[in-house]
Amino acid sequence: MANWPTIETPSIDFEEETYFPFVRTESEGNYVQQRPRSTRSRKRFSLKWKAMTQADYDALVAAFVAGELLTWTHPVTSTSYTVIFSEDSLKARYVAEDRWEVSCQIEEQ
Amino acid sequence: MRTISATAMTEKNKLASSYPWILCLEITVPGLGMPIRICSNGEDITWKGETWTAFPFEMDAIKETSTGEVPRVDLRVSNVSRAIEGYLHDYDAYCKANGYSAIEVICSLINYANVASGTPEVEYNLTLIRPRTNSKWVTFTLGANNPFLRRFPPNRMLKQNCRYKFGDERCGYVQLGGSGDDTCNKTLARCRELGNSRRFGGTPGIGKDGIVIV
Repeated sequence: MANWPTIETPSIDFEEETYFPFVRTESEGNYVQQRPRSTRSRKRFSLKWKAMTQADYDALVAAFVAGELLTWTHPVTSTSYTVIFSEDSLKARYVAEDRWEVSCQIEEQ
Repeated sequence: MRTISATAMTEKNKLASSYPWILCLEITVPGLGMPIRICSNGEDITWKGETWTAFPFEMDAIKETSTGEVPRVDLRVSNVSRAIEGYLHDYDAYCKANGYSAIEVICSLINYANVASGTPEVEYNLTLIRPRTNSKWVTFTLGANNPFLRRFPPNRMLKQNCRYKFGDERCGYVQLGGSGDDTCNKTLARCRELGNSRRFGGTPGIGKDGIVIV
């Protein structure tokens, strides 16, 4: 398992989602019966960088193309997660000299 | 009537249960040292003193009818890593070397609240009828043993007729090739002419008349 590339931390407005699927059945009596599908929840993160340097962008692309499991540390809680890129593309927009606006989705394995 | 444990019954009847139902598969592939144990959970579980690895698979519903049909169900196991396909290749090589032997699958449904108990709530013993693979899934068509498809009687012993194929391992006669006399009509007399009667595949001593089923 590889480590998350050494790049700047994501912007402050990154998003986090806790995914814990349930099996749910609605009743005619207006109540719901439910049970979890699994014993474990997973996290999904939507990361954004407003102005990433070219070097950091290259490092992130290299990690994305490698397609390996990565150890990523949450920038707020400092919790380590084993993550993988969850989309088939890594989106970037050139916004200034040596600066890229980048976003990507990762999810806990 | 099928019964489930009191713990599972309580969880089943709750409006909001915190314990999932987990399907565990024990796949016994002949030639493989130990069975493959996988479960439908998001993480590995320990049940019956064994570790059941979280692995992506899907299974059709097993139907039970009152018309005596033999159940048949498709099980799709992830083949993205090609791990299961590797086992199938080993199994194919094993069958070619040692003869056919069926892959057995035990499907056990457990409730996680009752994971300490080694008894599943429901269990099916199925055998592999046909495997198929593509880049995403290994599909096992599973079914139960059908006793009506079994050969009966398993062996047929004839008094004057040899049951071995001429020249095979059990016959043991070394064919010369090219000679017109090098043929067999399955009789003891011909076997004696060829000097191979010691390995005659008939059973002249089994008696006179009728059919005897032993």
